[in-house]
Amino acid sequence: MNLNKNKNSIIIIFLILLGILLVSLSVTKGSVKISFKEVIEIIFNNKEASRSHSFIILNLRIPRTISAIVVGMSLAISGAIFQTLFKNPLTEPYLLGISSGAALGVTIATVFNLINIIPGIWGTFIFAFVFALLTAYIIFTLAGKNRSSLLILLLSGLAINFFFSALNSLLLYFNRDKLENIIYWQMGSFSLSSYEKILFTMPIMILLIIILLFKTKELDVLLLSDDTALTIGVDVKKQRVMLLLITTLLTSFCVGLAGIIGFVGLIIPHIVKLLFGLKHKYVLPLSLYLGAIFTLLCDILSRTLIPNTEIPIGIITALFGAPFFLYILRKTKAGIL
Amino acid sequence: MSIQINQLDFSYINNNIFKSLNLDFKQGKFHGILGPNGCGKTTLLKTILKLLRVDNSCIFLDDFDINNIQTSKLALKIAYVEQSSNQLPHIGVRDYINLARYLFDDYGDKENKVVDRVVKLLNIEKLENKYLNELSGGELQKVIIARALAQETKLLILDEPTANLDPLHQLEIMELLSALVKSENLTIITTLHDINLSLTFCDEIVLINKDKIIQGPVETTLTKKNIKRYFNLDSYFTTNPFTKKPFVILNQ
Repeated sequence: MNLNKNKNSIIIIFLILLGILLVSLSVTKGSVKISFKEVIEIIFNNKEASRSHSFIILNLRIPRTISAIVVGMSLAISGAIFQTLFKNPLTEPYLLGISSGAALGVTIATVFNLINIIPGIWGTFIFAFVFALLTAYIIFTLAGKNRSSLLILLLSGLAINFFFSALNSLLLYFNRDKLENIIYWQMGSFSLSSYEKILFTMPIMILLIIILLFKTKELDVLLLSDDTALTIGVDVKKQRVMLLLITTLLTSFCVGLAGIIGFVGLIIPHIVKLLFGLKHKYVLPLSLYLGAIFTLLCDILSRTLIPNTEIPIGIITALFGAPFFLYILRKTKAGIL
Repeated sequence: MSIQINQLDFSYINNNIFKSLNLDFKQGKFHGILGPNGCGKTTLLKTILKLLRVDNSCIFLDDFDINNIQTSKLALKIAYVEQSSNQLPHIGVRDYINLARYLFDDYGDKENKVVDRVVKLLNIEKLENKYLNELSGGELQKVIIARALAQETKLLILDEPTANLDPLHQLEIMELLSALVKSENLTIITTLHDINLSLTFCDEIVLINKDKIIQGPVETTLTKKNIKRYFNLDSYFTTNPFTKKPFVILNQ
């Protein structure tokens, strides 16, 4: 037991240091190199710093770093909750087509100029949410009573994913003038982060995350069969609908902020579960933290791997995620997850 | 805690299961429900647990209509052990038993007194630090029963608790349940397939086969005539030399 405690404290201290390191890298690294000392000067006293550097730090890199942290947290916690809700280690909003549903909503709104019906930046988020919700509803209905059946669930999600991707491509094919913008955005990027978006989405996202953190007890019981959970006293249907609504809302906000970023919701909760077990008291907060630092790391890589070029972050997370997915499949066979 | 069922009608689409069913599960007794596969044994348990919805007021828990008791509050009155086929999560035995404390303030307490008590009661201290998937069938069934007991209800409902167990563990589980009825003053309702286990351990029996349903004390209900009528089997009764209880040999 003591050994375990020591091991856990070492992991936690390491993670905290890694977080601090990544935040510093995120504000200092990029196409323009700005020293850490200058960053500190800009944040606390921007009189002597150059105006362009000051602009880059305050208006580009800080909002980008905040976005990456909040999106990473949201994706990871949503993945963790999906895996419990569907009693299935291979589910996450991206694999089940919820993210592509949200993206389709934004494409439709952009192509048909519907986004401007709703003033400000609300349009993107509302269309993303409505379509994400619709996708979640379709998958739930298709999976029906066999919600825990891996095959039906994954196949439904896969079918939806293909269907929405095809619709998306069809729309883009006939609207080539908007092709580049939409495709770049859909591959995932934090380059369009702004304070406006953060101020609009962050309070809601943080509030939703806090609500989820109060649901650890219910989620623990939901690891059991529905009938047993009900007889223990959890209103399974109510909790499931509420948790699904919150995670769908969080996912669609992530899509609105940064496009489609897959695999964060799959990898992070699994790393946490392998290290710390299935109790949600640990799974949720640790997924939040690891999700944030993983996404931050991928974002830093996306803008530093190739000088003066930004690789969409969705590509980076998938490059990490796909091999890990295969690893999980092998572990699952052995009954560990 | 007793349960009265008055004029229960239940059907799945185009399939009548119960018509005007009347049953009375008395407090402090060990009730066994027997019948051929697909006759509605699990359905009956699920209607009592409100896992299946019955619209009319016909199931009463100590004279309270269960339709007036919130599903979540029913958890304070009845605990349930499902058929063992359900997949269980990869969690520790103690964490699993603790889930039963969901409605209580001591949920998740490291030194949970209720969890300690049921672990001791069922003599499973040596399993406490194991994970569920490391347990044998018999050990797992005891842990699941411990989880149900940790809800501290006076009524325990089990669905074929001896299915898939070897003879030794079948006897062990039945002895355990029978002892709990006496020591904890529990009322237990369980579905069973084994007529001899029922003859040895149950106080009261419900026999179900389509619309023929009877209930009564074990010795006057599990008879040669009823075994023919409900299971379509011939039987020869003798006495179990070890328990001095009736023992039956069956023939097609």
